[in-house]
Amino acid sequence: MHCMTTEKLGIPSVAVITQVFEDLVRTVAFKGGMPKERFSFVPHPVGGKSAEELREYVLGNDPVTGMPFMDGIIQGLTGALDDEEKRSGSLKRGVPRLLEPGKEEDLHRFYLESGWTDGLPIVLPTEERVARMSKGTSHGADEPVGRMRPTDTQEYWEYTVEKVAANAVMAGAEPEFFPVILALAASGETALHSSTSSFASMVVVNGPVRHEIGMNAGIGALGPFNHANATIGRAYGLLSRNLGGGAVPGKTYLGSQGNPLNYSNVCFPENEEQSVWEPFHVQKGFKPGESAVSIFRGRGFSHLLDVRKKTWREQFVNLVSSITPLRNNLTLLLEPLVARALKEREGFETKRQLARWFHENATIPAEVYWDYQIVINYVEPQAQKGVEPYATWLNLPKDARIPMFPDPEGISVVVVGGGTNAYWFAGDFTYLKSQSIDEWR
Amino acid sequence: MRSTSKGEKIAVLDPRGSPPSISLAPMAIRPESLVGRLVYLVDVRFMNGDTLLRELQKALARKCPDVRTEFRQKRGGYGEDDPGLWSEIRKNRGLMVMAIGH
Repeated sequence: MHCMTTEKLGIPSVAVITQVFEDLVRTVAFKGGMPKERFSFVPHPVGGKSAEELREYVLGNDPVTGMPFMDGIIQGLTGALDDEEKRSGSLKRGVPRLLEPGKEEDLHRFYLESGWTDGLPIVLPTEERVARMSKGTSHGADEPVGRMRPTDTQEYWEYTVEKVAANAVMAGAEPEFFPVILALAASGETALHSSTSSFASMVVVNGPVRHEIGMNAGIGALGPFNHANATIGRAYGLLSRNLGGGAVPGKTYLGSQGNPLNYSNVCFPENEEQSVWEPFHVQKGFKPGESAVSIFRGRGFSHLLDVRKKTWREQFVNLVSSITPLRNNLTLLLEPLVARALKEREGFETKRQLARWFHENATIPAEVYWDYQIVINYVEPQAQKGVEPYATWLNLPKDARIPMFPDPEGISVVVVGGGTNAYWFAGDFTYLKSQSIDEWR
Repeated sequence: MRSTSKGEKIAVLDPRGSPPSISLAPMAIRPESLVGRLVYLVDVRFMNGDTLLRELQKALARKCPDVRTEFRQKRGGYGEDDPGLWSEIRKNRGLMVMAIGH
């Protein structure tokens, strides 16, 4: 990405990449208009290798081209440009509205082999089915909904109401669910982020729409027990894949292990009726009578049973201690019984007070904090630029305590569950945004 | 909803969104050799890329003693632009090798 910038400025450039990212960088170069950008490759990984081991990389052969690595560097910087490398102009890439008609069985196979599904059977989006889905909104089929991309280094794709409807049909959704799915599409946030860290997404629905479409906020809300919960979450994954620039492993999806939560994208409504606090969407500026969907991004959950009278403080800290600290990546999914205990017994009058408690009490030594690789990758550069509070933290003594979650306003609390027991989850999910559902009715 | 009988051909929508047009950009003209030139070795601060570039710097010094090198760390996170550094490289008629560690 940076090398395309410098090439355009007239600076001959070579990017050194590890072997496993060849498909990714060539894809990014193609889409960036520089299909023959010059790369030299070394074995993977570079991270964790000693200087001696990396010297072997440099003195050895490029594992992609087979030529000596250093010769490749010099050739990349000095080799004369061919005609393709000198080209300018524009390449258009159209996507047809309809596929060539085919037999149902053949079309199912074609969708699967094209990478347009999540590997599970889909409902084929015939014109009739898509038209029926489109009746779930007052917006026209050709109306633009938004744009989306797998990550910051990739290109945006755009889409209309009809294209979102096609993906909603594929997921098995009903037309009455469609405004929620359109709101997710309009958010511009992909459910299939291409980070190597294997992000999952989480979708929380608030407001009257929860009851109107029969969502489940009670027993089993996060599990596979409700049509709306399941298919809205699945549709979000499918539309992210097909409308948001693809999710092709190695090219537009790099999650090293992947994340099983992406099948459903953890879609559920908040149990507002059983909550002792204000609904999540109200915290984000919506009125209680409005419907909204909120999107989070993280990787997984740890769990705890109950709020023990003597040692809940220690247990709460232990609950979140496994989370890798990175800005504000904490979301608490509180069972209604837990929320009630925290308010009535321990005096947490608001979600905000509970968030502040975690901010103040979940801390780690500075020496450990600054040695997290993810902190080195993403936080330390900001600290060195002077961004607070990280810049101040960088100068703290090794044994000083640093908050794992730096901004209490960034810690999210959602109430969900059916009251069968006080089991609850803490997830490393970061809140991204909330989107109006009513605007897409 | 109408179901299709076996063997009947049906028309379905392509579920993909619209990708943007690609604007092709010509690459920088290359010098015939590196003799006397300044090569910037730019680290994006990601997963040990700096150590790799330091080794590359030593190897380049041995292989091409007439080439000058300058090791630099790009400002900000790995995806963040650094116009100041690009401007400096351009001003010095430099070339660039960037390591994106992982």
